[in-house]
Amino acid sequence: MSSGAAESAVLFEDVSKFYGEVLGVNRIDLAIGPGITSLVGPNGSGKTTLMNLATGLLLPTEGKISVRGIPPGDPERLFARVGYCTQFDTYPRGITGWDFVHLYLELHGLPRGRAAEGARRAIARVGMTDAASRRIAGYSKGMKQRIKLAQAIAHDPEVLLLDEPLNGLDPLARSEVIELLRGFAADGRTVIISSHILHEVDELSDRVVLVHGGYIVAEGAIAGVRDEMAAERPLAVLVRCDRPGALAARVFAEDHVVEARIDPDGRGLLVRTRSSEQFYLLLNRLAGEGLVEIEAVVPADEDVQAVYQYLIGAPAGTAT
Amino acid sequence: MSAQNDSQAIGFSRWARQVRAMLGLELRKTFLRPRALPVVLVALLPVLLIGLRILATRLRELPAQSVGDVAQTYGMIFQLFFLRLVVFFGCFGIFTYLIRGEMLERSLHFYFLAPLRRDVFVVGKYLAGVVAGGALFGLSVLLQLALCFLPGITVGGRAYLLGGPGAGQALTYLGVTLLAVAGYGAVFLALGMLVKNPMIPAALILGWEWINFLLPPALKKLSVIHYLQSLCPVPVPHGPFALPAEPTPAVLAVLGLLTLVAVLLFFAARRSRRLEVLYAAD
Repeated sequence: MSSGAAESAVLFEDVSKFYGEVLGVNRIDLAIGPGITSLVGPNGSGKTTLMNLATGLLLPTEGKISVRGIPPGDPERLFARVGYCTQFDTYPRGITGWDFVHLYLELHGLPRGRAAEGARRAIARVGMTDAASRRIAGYSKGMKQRIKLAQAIAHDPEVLLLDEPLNGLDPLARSEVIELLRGFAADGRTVIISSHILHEVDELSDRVVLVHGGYIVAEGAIAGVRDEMAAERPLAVLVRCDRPGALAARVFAEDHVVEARIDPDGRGLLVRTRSSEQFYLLLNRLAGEGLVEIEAVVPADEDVQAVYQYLIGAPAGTAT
Repeated sequence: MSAQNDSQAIGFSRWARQVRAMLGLELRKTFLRPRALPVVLVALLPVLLIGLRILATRLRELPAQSVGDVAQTYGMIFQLFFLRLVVFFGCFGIFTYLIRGEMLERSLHFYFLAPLRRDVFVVGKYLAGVVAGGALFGLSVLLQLALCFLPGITVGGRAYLLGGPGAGQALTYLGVTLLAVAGYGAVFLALGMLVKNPMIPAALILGWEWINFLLPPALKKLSVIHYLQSLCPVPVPHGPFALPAEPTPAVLAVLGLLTLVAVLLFFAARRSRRLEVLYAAD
């Protein structure tokens, strides 16, 4: 990796995009660094627009964008470092999976032999070796998704953008792709994905950017975003312990605790607090004093689904 | 990052490799498919018409013509029919679709996601069109000449075409055809990037090219056909209303056409930088 890996890989500065009079995204200021960042939002919220703007497929109406300091208007330098797996399911007519990846590497200016070697490696990484000689038009959705991914990673990019990359994949392929993305991120690279499958976003992402109606409504590590919302939406924490009644009486005396409800099984207490930090300190103290014996402490709504539901108002589960 | 190092290490040779890769894909996906059939039929139309004329000559048992008469007649077919209509419409079909076709088939992003300068992209597309159009219309010219100078149709036709002045004329016709493809190709490539429906502007250009013989000498030079005619080996009369003008010297005619091509490609390359992948809008 280059020495600049730690800097913001993708930078949007006051970026707006209008399709005629229709708003795509508005006044976006966003810096995305290494690791896995997920763009989350309902259909039409502006996720794909952001990705297309970052890769020059769209031109901003206003503002500046750069990827590793390179403007999207310089594709020669940009796509030497960036791979983009788009949502488009259309391909040059009559092309096979092999051609799709091999030609792409030839367009990188690689000699045929090196392009063939790179294509073979990328296609193997996504498990498409057996189907590579077939025309893409005959592929299933999952196969199309994998061959697009092979193309996006074939030149070993530093920044990888993936628009709904897990769509249409079976569970095995899904976990393989997730592992592959984690491997990229672990290598200090930047992976940006858009997904509407929130539990996967939760599992996969170091950071989320919630987009709604063309605006960014929240961004950061999921726990951090959730904490910022705690004043309006107190955090729910489930404490499994031997004496939930005693614990309820004790925590209810604290200002930051707004609710304490004993689980029907009598072995747990659901607490809602405006300050998770103060609550966890209190819990440590009480456990130390021997008031209760704690089995487990589980944040009940500190995930992207909850954040999404609170901020955007759609039902948790999927963002579509 | 292996691909990056390789990509950065080379300059002009890298663009050449990129264009070569584009040519391979373009020739396959654009020209070896049913959509190319109308263009192929248009290119072979003069061959068909000449063939029918030969058939009629044989059936009516008309005497063979002299090479001078046939050369003169072919000169008219070439200039008034082949260049003005066949190559014109053939190039319209090929070049306006080169980039607009990518939008209609929603495959433009394949190129736009590669480290390919937009101007190299435009040049690659243009060269693919020139190679395909040049091969197609060049083949058509060769077939037309072979039929025109068939033994039994033209007295001494074979000797004229293979060993006499006809050989030089055939080469000139091929060269003019290639220049016509290059010139009209650049016009239609630029037009295809400028407007969504290039039919009306193309009709205006066709009209302009057709009335070229009526235009004063200064205006004649603002056309492709004027330079092509100047290069043709057999002059063709344009009737009593034509405003005569000195033909442009061959070197200037070729340079003029190549300059026009360069200007139009420059314009197209500039336009391509503002091109967005907005399939839904197309």
